Amino acid sequence: MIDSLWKNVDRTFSRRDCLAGMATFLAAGSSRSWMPLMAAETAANPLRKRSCILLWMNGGPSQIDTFDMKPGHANGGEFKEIETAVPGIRISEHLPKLAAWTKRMAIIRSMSTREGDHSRATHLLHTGYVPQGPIQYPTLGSLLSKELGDVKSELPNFVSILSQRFVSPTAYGPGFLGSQYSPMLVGSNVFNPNAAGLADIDRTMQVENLRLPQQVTAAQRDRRLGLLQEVERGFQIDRPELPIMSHAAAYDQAVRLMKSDAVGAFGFSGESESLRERYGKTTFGQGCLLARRLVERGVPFVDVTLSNVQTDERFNTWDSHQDNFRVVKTLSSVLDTAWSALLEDLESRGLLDSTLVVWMGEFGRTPNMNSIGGRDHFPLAWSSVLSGGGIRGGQVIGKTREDGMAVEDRPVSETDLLGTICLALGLDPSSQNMSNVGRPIRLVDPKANPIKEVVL
Amino acid sequence: MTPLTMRLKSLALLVMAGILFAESQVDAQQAGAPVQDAADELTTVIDRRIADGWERNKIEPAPQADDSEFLRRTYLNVIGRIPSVYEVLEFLDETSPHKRRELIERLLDSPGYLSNFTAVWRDVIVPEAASADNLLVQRSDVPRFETWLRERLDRNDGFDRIVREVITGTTESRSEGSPLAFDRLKEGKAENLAAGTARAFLGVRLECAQCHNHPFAKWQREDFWKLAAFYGDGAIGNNTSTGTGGRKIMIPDTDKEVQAAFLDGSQPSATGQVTSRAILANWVTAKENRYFARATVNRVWAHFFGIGIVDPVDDFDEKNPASHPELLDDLANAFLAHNYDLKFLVRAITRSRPYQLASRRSHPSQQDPHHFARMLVKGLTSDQLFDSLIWATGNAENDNMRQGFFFRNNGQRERFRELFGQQISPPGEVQTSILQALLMLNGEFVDQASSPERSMTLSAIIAVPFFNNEQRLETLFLAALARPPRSDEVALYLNYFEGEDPNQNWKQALGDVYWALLNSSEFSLNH
Repeated sequence: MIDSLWKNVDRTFSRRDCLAGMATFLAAGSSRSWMPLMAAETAANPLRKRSCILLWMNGGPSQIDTFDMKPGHANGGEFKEIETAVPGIRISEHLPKLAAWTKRMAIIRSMSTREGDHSRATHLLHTGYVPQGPIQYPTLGSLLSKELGDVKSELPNFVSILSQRFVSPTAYGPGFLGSQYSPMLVGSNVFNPNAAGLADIDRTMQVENLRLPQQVTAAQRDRRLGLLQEVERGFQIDRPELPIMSHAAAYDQAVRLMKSDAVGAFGFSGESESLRERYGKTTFGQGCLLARRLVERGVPFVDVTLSNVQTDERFNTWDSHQDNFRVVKTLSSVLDTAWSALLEDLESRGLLDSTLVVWMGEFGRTPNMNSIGGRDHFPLAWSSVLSGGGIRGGQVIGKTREDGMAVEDRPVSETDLLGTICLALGLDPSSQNMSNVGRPIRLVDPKANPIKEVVL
Repeated sequence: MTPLTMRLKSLALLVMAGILFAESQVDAQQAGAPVQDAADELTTVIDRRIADGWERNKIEPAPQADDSEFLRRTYLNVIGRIPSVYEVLEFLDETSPHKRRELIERLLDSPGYLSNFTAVWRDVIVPEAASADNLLVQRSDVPRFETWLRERLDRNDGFDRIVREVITGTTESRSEGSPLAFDRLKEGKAENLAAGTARAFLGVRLECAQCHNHPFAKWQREDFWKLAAFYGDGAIGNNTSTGTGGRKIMIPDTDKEVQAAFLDGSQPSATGQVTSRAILANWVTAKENRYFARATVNRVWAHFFGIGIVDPVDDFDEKNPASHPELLDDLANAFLAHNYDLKFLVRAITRSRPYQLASRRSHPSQQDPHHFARMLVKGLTSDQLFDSLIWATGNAENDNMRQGFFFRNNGQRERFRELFGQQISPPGEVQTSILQALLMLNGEFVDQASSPERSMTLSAIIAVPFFNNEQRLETLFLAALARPPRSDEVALYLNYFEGEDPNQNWKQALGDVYWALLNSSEFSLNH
C-alpha cells in the first residue's frame, strides 16, 4: 500500500512533477472505480448482503397515537384508528399511506425497557446497554456495518443522516470497535426543521469534510497532496510502524473517496422531481431518499433521524410534553409520506427484500395525558416497527393493557429487539468482538430473547 | 548556532513573541553542573537494566535522539503539546550540556504539566470521563474532579494520598473541587467501584470474575465480590449508610453473602469507627501492597514509552509477564522510598538513555518494542492533537460557536474528541481512520491554519518584511515539526515556492506547504 502510494513521486520535485505524480497516483486509485448496479441485477444478486435503514424517532414518539391505538379508552386521545391492508391491524388515521404497507410490517406493541432519560435511553436502544463502567459499547450501526460491510468499498459502510448526537454522543459512536467504524455524517446536529425548499434541504444534507474547503481548488489540493507525500516519505524511512502506515492508508482512501464517482451517492442527481416530492419536501423525507441511494450502492447501514418539524413558528418534536396531538399529527404526516415512499421505492428497485427498515425511538409516551395536553416519557410499554427485508410482515407482536399502562403479552426488551434485528439481517447475535477491557463482547447480550416469529 | 537560526531567533523574539506563544523566558543560566539527585540514581538503574536486556538479546540500540526530537517528544509527554517556534529556537541554541534535564525541570514546573497530567490521571481513574458525552460529564462532576486533581498535582501530593481520596470520596485537605466523579461515573455501584479500583490502582482486570469463574484465572468470582463488599454501602452520601457497614455483600443471583476481603485473601481487622472504604483505601495504598506501586510506575513508564513493562498496563497476571521484572521492582521500590512522588518518577524516566533514543530504526535488532531499543512511535490523544494544532497555527479555538443546548457539541475540539478520542488500540498501534483523514484534509480548522489571510502563524511569517523564502520555510518547519528542514527538503520546497511560474502566489504556496506539514504523520504522531 505504502509502496504503491509513494513510488510514483520523483525525488526532484516541482509543481509540474507533482501534478504528474499525482495523476499517476490517482489513476491507480480510480482503477477500482465504482459502477452503479442496475435494480434488476441488484435484486437478483444472490451474494447481495442485507442492509438496514434505521428510522430513528428522536425524542420518543407516542405509541398510543401511532401504532397502538386505544379507541374507546380515556387514554386513547383524539385520533381515530383506521383499517390497514392487513385485516385486523389498525393504526392511526394520520398514517394513511403506511396503512397500505402493514403486510410488510411487524408491529411490536410490547416494547418494555427501564430507562426514561433521553440520553441514557438513546444509548440503551443504540447499544443494548446503559452507559456505565469502562466498556465503550459500539452503536448498532458500527456493530452491524462491521459485520455486513466490505472493508474495501469506496463508500463508507455506515452513514448517519440528520443524527442529533448531542443527546448522547456515545450512543452514536463506534466504542471499542475503534474509529474506523465511525459513521460518516450527513447533516448531523443540524437544526433546520423548516427548510423552505429542496435547495435548502440540499444545502443541509452535506457530508462532513468530504468537499474541499471553499477557497481551495482541485489543482491546489493535488499539489498539496504531492507535498504531503514528500514529507511522509522522509519520515517513514526506517520507521516501519503501524501508525505511520495506517496514516498513509487512511489518506489514500480518503482522497480516493473525495475523487470517486461514488460520492455522487450523497447528492440527489438523477432523481426525478416527482420522486423527490413523493418522499416529501422535508429533511427527513429527503434523508430517506438519500438512504435508499446509499443502500442501492451497497452501504449496509444508514440511519435517518426524525427529530423536529416546524409549522407556523412552532416546533414539533416527538418529545411531546405539551400539545401532544398537534405535534404528533404534524410529525406523523412527515413520517407517513417518507417511510411509505421509501418502502415503495425500495420495492420498485428490487431492494425491499434485502433491506430491513427499523422504526423506533428511545421510549414511548405516557398513555395518560398531563395537565398541559402532553404525554411524558414512558419506557414501560411502547411500540417499535420492523419492516421490509427479513421480516414476516402482517403481524402484531405483543399487547398492552386496555389503558396502555402495561405490557400484557410478550414483553420485548431492548436486547430482544436488537437480537431480532440481527437475525433479520442474517447475523448471529452471539458473534463476538474484542472489547476495550480485553474481554470479548457479543453483538447482543446473551440474555436476549429475539422475536423469532417475525424473522423470515 | 548557525547564522540562520541566529537571525531567525532574533526575529522570532522581535516579531512573533506575542503571536507564537512565547510563554516563558528561560531563566538565567545556572553555572556549573546540576547537583546529582536521587532521581539520577534511579536513572542509572533504568539504564543498566535496559542495557542488560540489550546485551542478553544481542540488540544494538538506536542512537540518541537529536535535540529537536527529544524536545518535541518531551513537550508532548510532559505538557501535552508541541513547542512553539520560540521555544524550539531557544532550546536548540542553548549550549548548556545539561539542557535536557533543565528543560524537564522547567516543564515540570509549568502549568502545562498540571493540565496534561490532570488529563492523564483523569483518564486512568475515571476513564468514563473521556466520553464525548457532555451531559454525562457535566452531570457527573468531572470538571470538579479535574479541579481537585489539579490541586493535588500542583502540590505534588503523593499518589497514595490522591488514591485514598478517590476511594473514600473525602479530601484530606481543603479543595475547591471534589473526587466524587469516581463514584458518580461508577453509579455508586459496588461492583463497578471494585472493578474500577482493581483496574486503575492495582493493574488487575477483575470484571471477568464478576459474573463467573474462569478456569485458569487467578481471581475467582468470590474474590471479586469480597473486594466489592468494601463498597457494599453504595454511593457516598447514601443516607441509610453508616459507612462502617457490615462489609458484606450478596453475590447476585445466588443466596451467598460474602464478607469483605482484600485481593490477597486477608481480611481487615475490626477497627471501630473507620469506614470500610477507608480500610480498603489504606490497604490499596499500603507500602506492603505490591500491586499498587508496581501498577503505578508501570503506567507512568507506559506513558513515556508507549508500552508498559507489563503490557497491557491493567493486566498484571502470571500469563502476562513483565519484560523487565527486576526493573519494575526497582522502580516500585524507589517510588515507595520517595513517598509515591510522581515528579520523581518522571525525572528518572525522562533522564534515562532509553527515553532519549531516536525513533528511527538503525538496526534490525530494534524491532521488538519490548526491548526499548528505540523510541516507539505513538499516537496523540485528541486533546494533544488539538492543542498542538492550536500552538502550531496560532489560531485560538473558535469561540463564536453557538453554545445553546442544541449546539453544545458543535465545537471543533468536540469534533476532534469524537473522531480521535476513542482510541482503543495501544498507543503504539494507533490507526488513522478515513474520517480522521477527512477532518484534517478538508476540515475547517486546518483549512483556516493554512490560509495566508486567516492563519495567525502564516500571516505573522508573511508580515516579516526581511524574511526570504528559506527563512519562511524554516519557520514553518519549526512551528509544525519542531525541527528545521533538512537540506533536501529546503531544495524541494524552495523549488515549489519559486517554481517556474513568475506570477506564482508565494503566500498561497507557503500555505500549501504548511497544510502538508500539518497533515503529515510526523505532525500527528509522537515519536
